[in-house]
Amino acid sequence: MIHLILKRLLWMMPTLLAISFISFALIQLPPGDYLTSYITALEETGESVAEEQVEALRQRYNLDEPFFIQYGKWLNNLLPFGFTRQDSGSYLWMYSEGGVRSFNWPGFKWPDFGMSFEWNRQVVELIGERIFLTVVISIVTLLFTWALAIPIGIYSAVRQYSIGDYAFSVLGFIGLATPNFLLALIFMYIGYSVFGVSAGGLFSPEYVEAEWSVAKFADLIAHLWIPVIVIGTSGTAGLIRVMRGNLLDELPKQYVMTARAKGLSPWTLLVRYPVRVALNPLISTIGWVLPGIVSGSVIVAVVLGLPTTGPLLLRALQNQDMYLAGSMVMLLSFLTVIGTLLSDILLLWLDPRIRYEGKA
Amino acid sequence: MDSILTIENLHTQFFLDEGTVRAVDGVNLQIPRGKTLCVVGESGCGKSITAFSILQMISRPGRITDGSIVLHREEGDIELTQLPPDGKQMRRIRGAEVAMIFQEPMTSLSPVHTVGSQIAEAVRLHMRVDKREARARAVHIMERVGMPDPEGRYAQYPHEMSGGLRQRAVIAMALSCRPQLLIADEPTTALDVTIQAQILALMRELQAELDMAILLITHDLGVVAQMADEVAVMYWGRVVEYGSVERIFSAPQHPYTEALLRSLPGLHIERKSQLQAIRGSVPDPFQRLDGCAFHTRCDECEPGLCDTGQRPLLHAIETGHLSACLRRKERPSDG
Ligand SMILES: Nc1ncnc2c1ncn2[C@@H]1O[C@H](COP(=O)(O)OP(=O)(O)O)[C@@H](O)[C@H]1O
Ligand SMILES: [Mg+2]
Repeated sequence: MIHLILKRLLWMMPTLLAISFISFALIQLPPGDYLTSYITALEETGESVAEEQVEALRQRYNLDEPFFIQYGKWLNNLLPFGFTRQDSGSYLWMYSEGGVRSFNWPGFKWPDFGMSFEWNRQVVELIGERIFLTVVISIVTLLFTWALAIPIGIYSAVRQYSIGDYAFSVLGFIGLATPNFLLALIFMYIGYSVFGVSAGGLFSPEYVEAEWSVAKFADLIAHLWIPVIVIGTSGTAGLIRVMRGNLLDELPKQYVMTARAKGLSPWTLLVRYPVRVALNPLISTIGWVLPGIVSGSVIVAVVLGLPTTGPLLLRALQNQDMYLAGSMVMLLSFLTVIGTLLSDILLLWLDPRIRYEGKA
Repeated sequence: MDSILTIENLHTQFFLDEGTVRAVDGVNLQIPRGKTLCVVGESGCGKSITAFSILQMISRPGRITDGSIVLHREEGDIELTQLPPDGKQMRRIRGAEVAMIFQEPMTSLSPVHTVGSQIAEAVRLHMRVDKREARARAVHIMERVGMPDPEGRYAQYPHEMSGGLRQRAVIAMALSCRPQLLIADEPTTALDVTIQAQILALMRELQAELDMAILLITHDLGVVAQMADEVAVMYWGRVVEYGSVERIFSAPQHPYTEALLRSLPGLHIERKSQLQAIRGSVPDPFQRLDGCAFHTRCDECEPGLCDTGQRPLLHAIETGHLSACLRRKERPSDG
């Protein structure tokens, strides 16, 4: 098993490299760059920008360098090892200001995601301040989805074609078919008119800037259910179908009969055998949760005004905020790959059949 | 005859949208204590459903609609069809007093649990023992059914074993609580001939050791010849002939039994006669037939007698030999 995991880890490397290259290329693809659009925007408001100032900015962010050099520097900054940045934009192969050739050896360092042009802040900071709430929402949504979908899926399979099964199917398809943003609007309306919760955001206005306290936490809980339901609904509906289908496949199998002929009670039998087997394919979906943490439900987050990473990514892409967008796309892909690996390992651990194939 | 189980007038039906399937349509059967009763018949004649009915493991849309199944225990008789199918009493009987093994050794064990744990689970369900004791007993029975290295095999998964070994494991599980009746539904059909012989020999051996009755379902008359004390021949949901294995092979009374014997290589009494498939095919299960259900395929069918009225009941040809043929009832000397 260790062998298998190591092999998978090794295979990840070229994948990640390829992803980073494509991410970077995509960011560079649209004509122009951040500075051009920045200058245009400024000029539209009537301000003029000095040529020298623009040139200085170009120099600083290597915008005039060839594509591959830009990519190389960007990658070097992202990696936790490689060449350290001496000052803004200078590496070992450059002369430092005094004209003395400074040289630094490659080694371990903190990854540097660069600056966001638009926010004029470190990318790490921008993502960092939003990642906590994003993770909270993602995990709560995941738990909500599973806690709802698995029991309903089991019920629907065991009572196939019962009234309950049909009712859940209809609800499920409505859930799947309703666009998330519409659901978001509906829930905002309900939240505001029935529960008096301020529409949008994760906090009431008075708590947005406040320090963490019990009251702020309670306020978070009061707001959290709307995004969780909005984001979780379609996932829940989908998962119910998957769980129901998986279990229906397992129920008529011989081993279920064998276990029943042993004298197990219906409930123990159900949970210990067919459900246990039917859950395995769901495990492979866990991998998708990780990338969801970054990109998760961008539109819902925009509509609900959630302080999560989704809207940040959207804006960065729209504005060609290169370092921010690049870092996030990269992070996204990275998490996808890691997530897939994690769910594979989990599956390997849970399903002896796969373990066996791996050995053979 | 001292029986462990008596089935009377059993009807099990499946209620489908297309109509009602009379899978078991008036079966009468007695399973002798400590002996092997083989149930034979073409596929689809209701052998498996009869077996599942005994354990009350008929799932929707099927249901036992009539008849009785009485288990004769030392503590007294118990009517199984009167018990709630998944109630406590029925569950205590399943696996402990009446155990069952199935046709497909490849799929009859859970793929995600170790073989040993599945055997130990049966032990823990029916015997008051702790985990360690259950494990020890499981290992012991695995050794008893001839699994090499039972300690090592305990932690293996089904897919790590051959078909023969798996069927041994299934037998170990079924016998772990020393049942009085073992129902085996085509236990060797999916196995190689050599493995099949080994498994059958093992079953005989354990039967003697545990003094247990076996209800062996098969469509293979070779297996019958090897295993049976008594034979019940089923056709279209009913037993059409019942007798000792010697009588069935040497003096079959029902045309269907004769046809079955003729269709089997090397077993027929007149060795030179040609192998013959049974004419026609099994009638559609939704159909209702008057008279003897076999009349559509029977060479001796007598219009006006065989194709009208109720389905014929078994009648005694001699002690312990019963047949349901309407014609030979009239002229038993023909037999
Ligand atoms: N779950 C079911 N639903 C509908 N019909 C069934 C079901 N199980 C068995 N039957 C029908 O019952 C009849 C007897 O089946 P079975 O006892 O399995 O035959 P066999 O003698 O081959 O074991 C067949 O006609 C079969 O189609
Ligand atoms: Mg069968």
